[in-house]
Amino acid sequence: MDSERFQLLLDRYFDQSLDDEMAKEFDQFLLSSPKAREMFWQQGSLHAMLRQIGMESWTPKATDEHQVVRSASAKRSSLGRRLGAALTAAVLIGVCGYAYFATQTSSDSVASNDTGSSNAVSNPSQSEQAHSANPSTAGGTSTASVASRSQLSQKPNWLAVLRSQFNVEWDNPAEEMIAGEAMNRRRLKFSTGQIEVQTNRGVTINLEGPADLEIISGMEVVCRKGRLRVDVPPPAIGFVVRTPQFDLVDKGTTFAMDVNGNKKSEVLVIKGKVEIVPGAKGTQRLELLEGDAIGISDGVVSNASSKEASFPSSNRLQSIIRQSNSLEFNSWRRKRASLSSAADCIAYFDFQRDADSNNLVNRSLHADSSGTATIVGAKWAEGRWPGKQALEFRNPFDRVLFSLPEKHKSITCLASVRLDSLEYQAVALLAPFEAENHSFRWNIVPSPDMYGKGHLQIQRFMNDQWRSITKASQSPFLQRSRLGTWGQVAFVYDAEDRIYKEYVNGRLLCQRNLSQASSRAIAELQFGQMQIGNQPESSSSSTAGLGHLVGRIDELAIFRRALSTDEVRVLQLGRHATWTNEGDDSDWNSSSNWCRGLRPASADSVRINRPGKDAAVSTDATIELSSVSVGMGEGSAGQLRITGGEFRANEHPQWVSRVGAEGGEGFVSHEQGEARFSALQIGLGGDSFGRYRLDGGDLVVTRDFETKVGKNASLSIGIYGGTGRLEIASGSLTTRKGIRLGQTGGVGTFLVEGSKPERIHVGSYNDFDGYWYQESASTLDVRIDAGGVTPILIKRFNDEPGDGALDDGNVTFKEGSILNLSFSGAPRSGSWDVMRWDGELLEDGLKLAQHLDNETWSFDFVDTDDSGSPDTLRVTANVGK
Amino acid sequence: MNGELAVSGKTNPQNQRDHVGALFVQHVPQIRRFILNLVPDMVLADDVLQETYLTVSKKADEFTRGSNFLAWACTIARYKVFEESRRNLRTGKILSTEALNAVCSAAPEVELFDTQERLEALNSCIGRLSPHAKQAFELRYHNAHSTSEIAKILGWTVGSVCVILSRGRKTLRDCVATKLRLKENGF
Repeated sequence: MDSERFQLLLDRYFDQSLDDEMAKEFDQFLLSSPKAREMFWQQGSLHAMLRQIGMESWTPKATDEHQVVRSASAKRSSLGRRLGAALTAAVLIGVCGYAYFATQTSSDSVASNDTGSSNAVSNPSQSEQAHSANPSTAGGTSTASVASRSQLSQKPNWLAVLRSQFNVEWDNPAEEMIAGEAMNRRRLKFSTGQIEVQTNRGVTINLEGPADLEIISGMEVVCRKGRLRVDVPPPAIGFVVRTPQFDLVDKGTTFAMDVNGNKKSEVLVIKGKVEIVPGAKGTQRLELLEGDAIGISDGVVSNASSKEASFPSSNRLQSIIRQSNSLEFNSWRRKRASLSSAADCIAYFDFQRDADSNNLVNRSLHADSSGTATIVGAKWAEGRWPGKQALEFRNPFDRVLFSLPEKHKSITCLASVRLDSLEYQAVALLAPFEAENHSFRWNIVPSPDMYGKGHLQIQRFMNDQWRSITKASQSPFLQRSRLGTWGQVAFVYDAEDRIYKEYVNGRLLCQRNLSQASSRAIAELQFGQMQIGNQPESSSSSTAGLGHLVGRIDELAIFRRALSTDEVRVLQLGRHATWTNEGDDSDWNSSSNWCRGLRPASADSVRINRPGKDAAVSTDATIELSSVSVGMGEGSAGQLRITGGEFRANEHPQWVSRVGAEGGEGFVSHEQGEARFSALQIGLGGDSFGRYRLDGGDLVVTRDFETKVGKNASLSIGIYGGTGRLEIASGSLTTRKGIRLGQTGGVGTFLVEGSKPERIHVGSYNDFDGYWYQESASTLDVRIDAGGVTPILIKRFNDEPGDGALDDGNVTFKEGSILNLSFSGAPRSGSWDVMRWDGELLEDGLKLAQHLDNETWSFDFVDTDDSGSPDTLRVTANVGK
Repeated sequence: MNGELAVSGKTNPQNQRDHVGALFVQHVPQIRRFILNLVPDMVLADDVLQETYLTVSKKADEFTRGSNFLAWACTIARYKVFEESRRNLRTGKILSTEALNAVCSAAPEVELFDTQERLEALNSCIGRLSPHAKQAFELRYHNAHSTSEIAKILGWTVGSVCVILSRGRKTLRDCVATKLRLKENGF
């Protein structure tokens, strides 16, 4: 045997580059030579091991287009790291993320004692932002074998379910949960919002953030922080809530608690009785009866004045959720109208029942066919919200049949699905009634690598066989704990640009270059006689392993082109609008300037990623939003001009507005009128740059946002590696709480330009304490004009002591924080107060900017009221010295 | 070692399916490697893995607890590879059924495939590749690109990519053999 020749053929075979002649020669070698067969196994083994190492080096987590690219380049562990070189072009070709119906969680796995303490790099508070991948977890499950072992240990043993939630800001976005999700032992940490959890023993816990609750069993939880109300039914008498200071043992009751770690905690018995069991600090054993309220601090028990109404309750939560559902439903109705009339939409089924309940109307006004689908077996049921209808698929016979005699090189399909079961068969969401060349089917497939999880799959029928158009087995989007919950799924097939993308809940889950999957993928997809939720019975092997849907669908839309990520996001996310300026007139009120014509309604969140002449301009109207993001996402740039009227982005009390986030560049030019934000973050995340210039009008920050380090801030400038800049040239600034300048690797600049600003009041809105916290390398930049400079006032209104370090009108300058001084106009000698505070000064090392002349400039902390502690930052210039 | 996992519980059909499903998950790396031994196309190999999984699940009742799961699953995988071979006649994607028959008759025991020791040795040998080879290997085995795609990305000819990969594999083969020999001799 010619070993050299055979080795060459072997290499070519495993590199898929044998031509026909070589293939015949190769076969011949294998048929005739035992040595060839031995070499074949050796080479195959090497090929397989290299692939395994290659796969294990890949730890996909990203869920956004930009993050997909970024994280892919950062994803080289093992082989990747050893193979080293940066391959930007390569990683752009095809990468898939790893997200679920919402995001990854560890609910299947047994929680460790400290599962919740991760460092979220991005800081999403809004629902759509909350899906951000958490880079801190990017090195998570990395190998199939590791995943396998962990999966094996997760014999599902559901201890509790998250029954409902509202406005929850999870500490670790990667561990976000969704309503309806079951959980094993698990730690729930969130900064804001309210959740309702029910254990498998029937105990209902309503918990309000900031909170830290760990489910230990159906009869035991650990609460480290949070305000909660617990309703214990008879089967769960003896239920225990452990806190850092004491344990509470239920004796058949309803009770409420306010737990604050090692600080004072309170207990109120609403009904029945409880027993307090002392912790390490020796609180005596206590039995509390209905109406009793106590506080416990350092083992000392005191009376408390807790009132039932001040604790979270199921009724209140359900009431809020009802309101929210109503808003979501209205938002969906607006989108429905837009989809029906969209020229690129070839089929749109809204799953709202008409008089003829056996039919489902194709609402697309541009549908070519008769437009009616036939319901076979499936039953009407409730959809995502009350009032929204759906079809429920249960039996193997259930399906919806429709005709769509079209063939396209690029298509987009979106569906809203509730999967109730995923066993060992792939589920057909959309499939042809009879397969022919170029037919395609859209499946949810159980993942062989990850037991109990599923991924999306598109297969195309060619030459009597079904083939995946792209590799998808590493993109699970569903896990067992989320069965029975709603999710939005979509795929974009674009043979023109050779791109395939998958989306889940508005986030890009997977992006691949079709050429990678071989040339067979580059072709048209054929519709025809189609069906939703099922596959025709067939003995053919081509349909083997494909099952029917067990679950519900309440919306399906098919487009004749590849939608952009912005478009998919807008269509999948509720209450969300994206600025495009496609109308080219920058008019906020013109639908043509919004993605898919969907102008934001009151309480929507808005994304603006167009700069310069395409900037969004709000004029003299009143605009009411929940939040706005200007320049969000890697490589994006956005600009907003506020030129009058009232721009209110505070309809939702806990949604944060952002200028320059997640790698984007944002600029807000505030020229006139009033702008209100619940909380404002400028420059958030690595490679982000945000700038807010106040040149007139009033900027008011009405709420605050819990920072991951320290107390709530109304205004954060330069966070998590981002660069932020707030410039005040005129007008006024008022905040509810404090200002943080620089945080977790970010750098912030706060510029006051002279005396034109009417006022700068930190903490004066709604009588809350303000504070100023300036980190190392962040700058307070002051320009003195002819009138001097408008001082920054750090107000203290609440006499109750706060946490000391930040609250209470305090001012903190960390070591290396910078004071930059200059003149606007002619230089002159004098002294000016640039900041005054009602609280304390915590000064670790404020220094003048390096370029300043120490002979000319100096600063002092001055005690102006002889209280014994400084209350003013005063700067002095000695010109001509 | 038979790869059996101790799972408590009665042997009702659901338990049996769960049990078999769990075993499959446990052995996915080996089963995938077995398939990749025969199927060079990584996308196709994953399709075969998926099909194998579905069949294993369907036939879960036929698996006898305590018997060799890996051998059973690999037998099913082998059938799936043969099915693919029949579908992909003469496309060069996979061996002909005749050649597959010949190759499979000479297959080593599944447990002998790619021991952890070899995997570790290979992992540590990757550092020996030249920078060019590292790029090509990453694109091939990490990103699953074909040689023509790699050529396009790196601006090389397809022939150069094949040569680089071929030389790289030789380097790795030699390196692994040396490491294993040294280990065997107590170094």
